[in-house]
Amino acid sequence: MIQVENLSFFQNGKKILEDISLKVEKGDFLAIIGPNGGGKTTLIKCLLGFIKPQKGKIYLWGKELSNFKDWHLIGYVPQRAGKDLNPMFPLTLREFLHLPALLYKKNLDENYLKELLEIFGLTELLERRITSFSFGQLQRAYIARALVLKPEVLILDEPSVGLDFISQKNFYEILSNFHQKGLTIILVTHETWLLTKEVNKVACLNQRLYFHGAHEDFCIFSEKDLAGFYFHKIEHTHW
Amino acid sequence: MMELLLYLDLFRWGLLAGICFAISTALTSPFLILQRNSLFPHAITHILLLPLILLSLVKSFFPSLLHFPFLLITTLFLSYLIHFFSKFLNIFEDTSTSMITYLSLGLALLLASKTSQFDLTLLNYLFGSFVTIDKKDFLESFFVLLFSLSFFYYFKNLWLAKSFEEELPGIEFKTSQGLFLLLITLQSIVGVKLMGVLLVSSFFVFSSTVALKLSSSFSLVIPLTMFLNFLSLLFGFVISIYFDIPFSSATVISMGVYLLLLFIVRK
Repeated sequence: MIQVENLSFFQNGKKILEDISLKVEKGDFLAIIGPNGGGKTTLIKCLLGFIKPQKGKIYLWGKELSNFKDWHLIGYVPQRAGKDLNPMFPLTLREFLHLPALLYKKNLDENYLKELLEIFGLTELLERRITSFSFGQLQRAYIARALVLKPEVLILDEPSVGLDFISQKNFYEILSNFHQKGLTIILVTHETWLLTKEVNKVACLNQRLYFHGAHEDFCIFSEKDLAGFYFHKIEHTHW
Repeated sequence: MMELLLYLDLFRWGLLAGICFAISTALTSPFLILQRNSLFPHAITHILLLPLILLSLVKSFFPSLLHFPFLLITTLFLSYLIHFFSKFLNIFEDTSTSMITYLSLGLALLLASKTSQFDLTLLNYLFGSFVTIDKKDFLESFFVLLFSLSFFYYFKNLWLAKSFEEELPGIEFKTSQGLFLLLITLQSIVGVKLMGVLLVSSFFVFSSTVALKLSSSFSLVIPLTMFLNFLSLLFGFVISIYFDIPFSSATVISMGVYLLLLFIVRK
């Protein structure tokens, strides 16, 4: 589905990503973990074509990124989603959720939209301005919007930052349900203790990919080992 | 009443150009506000004074059909300098905007003072003149309206998405944003003769802000902005005739009433 080959990215002469290779298969739940500034968001931005890496190749559904056209197959929830919303914005949740269909020129399945609203507890808020939402509601609205065109892959960049413990738990339960229904998920986080048991692959990134393998293998490591991943290279690959 | 009808006939091109301008700006100004870029037309119109003075000096050498393209190209060139200086000197864009704006204004005043333009022409450019608008000006406004409508039709969803989203997979904002800023420049140029360099950007701010505040959904914002722009144009026209004050100031004052109403509604 998604394949990254020897990807390197530099900014102002500074190395951000070095020689990253990874593969995401259909049905995977991949958690990309790593310290702040470790290049997690940069990797996602490369995958989504927002920035161009100086080296390496990215293949989406077998096509090279520059030739890929079916972007509606990828749902994306950015880091700090909605935090900079202009408070004057009179955009209702209905308008917000319909926008992807208009941008990607796809039909919106209204029944599926209703289903999503129920799952995320947003049904009552459909005609309300999204600027009046709490942070948790806004976060759920962004995830619902990322799923509205029934994508095959959902990419979430630090989605649970700022949510309280109960909301985080509910959030990961919802994600697990979608994963069980066949959705491929790529989750970027630095909160390793939050990794749900649904996660089947882990990639540990700090400029370089220090670990990439199955979640069970990742769980073997102690906190000390984990700290080691952040600072030293540990050769451990289990794709 | 009879007096008003007489004026209506006399100022018909001004009114028609004003209506086109009011509709055009309603199509772009809400996005401008949401993108926190409401000072952009203000900067553009101040930059525009230099091309306007230049044009008044050389217009006898050009056929009148080329006047509008001349203004557009020189204004776009000066706007490009903002971007260039920002990149070249590695400074924020709002800083380079201020510098280019002041340089343009300074040069414009210098040219005006050293030529015979430091009189009525300059005043007309600064505060606008409803009387001097002719059929050609109306046609220019009409064409800008047609551009605005077609750009709005094709790019409104992208402009809307850009208002709260920095990046979306597979969506390229560069072209739509470039055309958006070009459209604002075109609208500013046709609005200057009506409202003057100093007050033309009011059409980009007041009505859309009130509409954004009062609308329950975004779909209502554009029609409400259009209505409010049209209303202020009409009030501005009537007030300017009855009280014999400049049209541009009368229009802005009537727009100011919206703010007052907004305070009352909010309370």
